[in-house]
Amino acid sequence: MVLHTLNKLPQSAAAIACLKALTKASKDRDALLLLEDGVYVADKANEALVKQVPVRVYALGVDLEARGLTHRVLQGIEVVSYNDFVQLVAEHKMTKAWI
Amino acid sequence: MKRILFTQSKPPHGSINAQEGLDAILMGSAFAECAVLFQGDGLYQLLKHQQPDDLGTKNFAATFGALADYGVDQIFCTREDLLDRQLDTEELVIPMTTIRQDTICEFISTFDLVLDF
Repeated sequence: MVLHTLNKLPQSAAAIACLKALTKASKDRDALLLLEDGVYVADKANEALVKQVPVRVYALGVDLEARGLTHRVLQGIEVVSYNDFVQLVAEHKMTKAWI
Repeated sequence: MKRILFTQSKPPHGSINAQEGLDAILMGSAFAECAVLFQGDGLYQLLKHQQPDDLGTKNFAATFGALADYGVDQIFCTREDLLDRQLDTEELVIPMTTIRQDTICEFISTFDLVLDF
């Protein structure tokens, strides 16, 4: 299982490549964790973008709170803590960072 | 033996990422089976005729040619990333195996470890 992490803005090259790749991902094999500036992807403005991704999507709570996004998070995205972050990394075979 | 995938996704000379990645690949080749995936603008690392002498950065593109001597002969990119940049494999310093963009997640999952630069 692969945990994909994205820490860049939705319009960045890294985010575009990541989300494009994940449209063909498998729910059983892949998951996506949004952190740092990557949490803007979880904003309600990006519903169409996130809908194309057939995997479980997590967003780091502290990064959402810092940016005033907590109440704007798309439904279906799970807000996680630093402890959950560690847990996710441990649960997956590897982490692919889209940088 | 562990199979490691290195991904190179940054262009050369603007940051240290590309060269750090190359150094890591060379070191990794000493103890693991290594493959390299050039993603997006990382492909520009391989363009022939780079002359960064006046910039003061190293012309490390030449070093990619030595990867085969280190046993690193699995070099990949997506044909979509080549097309987006109007790059022909002939313009690059090493031969590549092209894979399809829509298989990239599956491709990554076949390795034991992925290191991103």
